[in-house]
Amino acid sequence: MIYPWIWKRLPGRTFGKLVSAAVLLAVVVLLLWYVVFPLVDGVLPTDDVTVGG
Amino acid sequence: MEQETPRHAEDDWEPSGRRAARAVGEVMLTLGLLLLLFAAYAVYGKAWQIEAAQDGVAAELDERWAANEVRPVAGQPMARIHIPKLDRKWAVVEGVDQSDLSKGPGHYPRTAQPGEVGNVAIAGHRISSVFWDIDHLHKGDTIVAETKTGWFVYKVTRQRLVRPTQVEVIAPNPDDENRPPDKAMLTLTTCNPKFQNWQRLIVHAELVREQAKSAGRPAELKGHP
Repeated sequence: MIYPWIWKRLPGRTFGKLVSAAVLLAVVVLLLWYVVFPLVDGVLPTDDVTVGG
Repeated sequence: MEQETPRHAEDDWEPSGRRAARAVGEVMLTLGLLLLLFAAYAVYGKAWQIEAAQDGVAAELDERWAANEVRPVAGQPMARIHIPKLDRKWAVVEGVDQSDLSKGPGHYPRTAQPGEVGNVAIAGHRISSVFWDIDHLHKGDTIVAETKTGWFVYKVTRQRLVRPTQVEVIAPNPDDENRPPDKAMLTLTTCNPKFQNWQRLIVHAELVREQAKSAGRPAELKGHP
């Protein structure tokens, strides 16, 4: 029940919570997109393009 | 405005079975979204990042040429290839490590330079901004390699699917790896099927003519970027 747990701890009332949830979500997505996924992609053999390596 | 009612800890109580089911549901939903996002990254994100990196690499290549630096350096751009049929061109980086290929197509170290007798071997990701469509290249299609001093026009001779271990495709003489090369070849390698890695798609091409930079752009590139 991680989402209710986070929701309860977000600051403000409904509007403030919505805004901070959106910011939190954006941070998580950007971190995944620019940091985690490139690393994961390097490890996964989804797109090996060379021969012999 | 809705009225916020005071909450008590008991409000959150629910049977432990239902609590567990909700937890499992939440985890699955999260994993599902994560996978979708990763799929979007693999299809679009990586392609955009390479496209963005290409702008910088292309500028770097022009700078290197302007400074008369033509010796290949790992991780640095060494030539440009144009594929008029696909309306595409790329600055090719020296090296085929992950970090090299994240900037665009990469030149296998110690394979020939454009125009030389031997085999100019170039690898690239099978994504929209790189070698996605090279399966459309067939016998007779043009691939032009551009160096500081010249244009080298290659014609595709053969397209083939091989196992990842078949290193002979990038040998100096891909027709017979035990014999010295007698032709100037250029070979592109990428993965096949798309987004999988159990085969390699290979496009071989052979040099048909070359012209100096001073003679202008080759006719094959007319109307293409």
